[in-house]
This record gives sequence, structure tokens and C-alpha cells, in this order.
Amino acid sequence: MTTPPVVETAEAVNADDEILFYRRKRKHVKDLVAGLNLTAMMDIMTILLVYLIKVYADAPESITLNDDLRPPSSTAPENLVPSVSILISKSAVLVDSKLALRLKPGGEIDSEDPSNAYAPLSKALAGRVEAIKYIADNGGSPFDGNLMIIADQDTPYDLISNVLYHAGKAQFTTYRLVVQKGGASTP
Amino acid sequence: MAGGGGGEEDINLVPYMDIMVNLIMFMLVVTAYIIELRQAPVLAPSYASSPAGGQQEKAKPYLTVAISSKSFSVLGSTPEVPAQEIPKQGDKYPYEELTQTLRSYKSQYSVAENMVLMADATVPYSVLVATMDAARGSVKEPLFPGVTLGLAVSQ
Repeated sequence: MTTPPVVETAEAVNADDEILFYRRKRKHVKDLVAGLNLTAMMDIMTILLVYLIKVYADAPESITLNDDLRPPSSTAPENLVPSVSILISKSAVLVDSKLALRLKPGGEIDSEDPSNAYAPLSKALAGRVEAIKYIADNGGSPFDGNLMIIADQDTPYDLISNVLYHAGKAQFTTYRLVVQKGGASTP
Repeated sequence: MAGGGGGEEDINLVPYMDIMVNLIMFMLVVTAYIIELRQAPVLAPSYASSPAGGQQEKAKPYLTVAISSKSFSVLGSTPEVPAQEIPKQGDKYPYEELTQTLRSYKSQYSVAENMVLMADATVPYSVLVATMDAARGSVKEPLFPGVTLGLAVSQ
């Protein structure tokens, strides 16, 4: 039994072509999405990441600005040279990020023995110098006597002066006041 | 690779992309908050009667700028260099006037390039730094680039 030949009208042929066309188009788009090349984007991302890490690493001393610590602005042109740091905020004095003194509001030292209030600072600085000298004796870089002072803009001069005095007693000879780049914004 | 066949498949990069995007976002936010820092060198405070930092040229007189809660005072180390007071203008310290005064001192008298800066115990650190800026002058016309900090003066 032979099947009778199918007589395709012009409209039926056109409809089949259209379906085939759309099927092929959909398949083509699907292939395109599946094969999206991510290599170029990966390259951009990697370069961006390397650049950002370098920018971050170039900041020798990163400090977090907040109400407790806001160094004054200055037109001083010199770039920062990392060294031993004394950080004077509104609430504390730190030597290389270690707490040395607690401060009351107004810059007064919170100490049980006011006659010997700066003793913990002297001890912390002497310990730091001793550690650097020990490292130097064992092949490290020598002690250069440099000291960075990172202080809040409202710190009274009395406190700054006393801190420098005790740093001098601990054999620090060169002081560098750390400031924000920019013009003066002071009373 | 179904059925253990040896077909070749691409590595799935999407998790790696996620990590990279998160890292970049984090770094962008962090770098936006990095502040640019500079340093202003000062000489060691002189707690004896020797002039600024002990390194002052002995032949030349030196200037001392004292900051009080009411004014700046410019003082000379010898009687030939007269003293001058620059009062505050309202609540503001007159930094520009101080620069002009120091410039005139430098041109009229043969004074050393290092100066002594001292202040009242209560003077804020920002005023000290701004006074150092005013005394430093500009790159083209430097005034007193070397500053020695003196003891705090209690009123």
C-alpha cells in the first residue's frame, strides 16, 4: 500500500520554513550564550585588582579617620617615611599601635599616679628602642632615632610637648609631625 | 564527559568571577578612604638655654614665635631684633600677617633660617601646624623651613 503523495500548499511550506528558521535562530542564540568568552573580562578584573592592591600597598601608614583622631591639614611637602609612631588621639596615646596612656577629655592623662603619669609612655618607648636595637644587632637595619607623631588636631600643645620630651629621653632625635595633605583649616 | 568519556570541558569561571568582583568592590571602597598623608619635620625641643635645636648658626640671631590664646609674638634673640605682637582677628589667628611679618624680619635682619616655636599649654595642635605652614613660606620663597619646638608655657 503506497501512501498517497502529500501535496503541500504554498502556505504550508512557508509555515514550515518559518518554524525551522526560528528553531535555528533560537539554537544559535543559545550557543552564543553558552560560549560567552570570559577571558577578556577576567583580564580586566585581574589588572584592576593588581592596580588596587598596589595603590593600597603604597600607603605607608594607613590611619582611620574618625572623631577620635583627625590630624590637621598642612602644606608640608614631604612624603611620609615609615618609622616608630606615636599616635595621640582624643582618648589614648599609642606607641606603634600599643596602648601607652589613657586620656581624659581635654587631653589630661588618666593615671592613678599623676606625679608619674608619663611613666608608661617612657617604658613603651624604651622597650621599642631596645627591640629595634636588638634587631639591628642581629642583622636588621640600625636604629635611626626617627619618630612619627600622629596627633588629633585638637590635642593641646602641653601634651605634644611632654610626649616629645619623653621621646627625647628615650633616644629619639628626629621628629616628624604627620599631617593631612591640603591647606590649613584652623581657627 | 558523561559515562567517563574523555571529552574536554571548559573550567567554570563563574565562582572565580564572583570572588574577583567582590574583591574589587572591597578594594575600591577601601582606597576611597585612604587619606594622603605628609610629614612636617621638627627639630628636637631645646630644654636648655641653647638656641634652636643646638644646630643654629651661632653668628646669626634667631627668631622665636610664641603662640598665646590671644596673639602671635615674634621675638628676636638679640636686642637688635625688635619684638612684635600680632593680635588675633576675632577668633582667627592672622596667619597671612604672620607670614608677611616674618618675611620683613628676614629681609631687614640677618636672622638664621631655623626658628623656635613655642605655645601656651592649651593651644591646639592644628594652630601649631598652621603656624609652621605660615613660617615655612612657599617653595619659591622659603622663609623658615627649620622649626624647633619649645616647651609649653603655662599661663
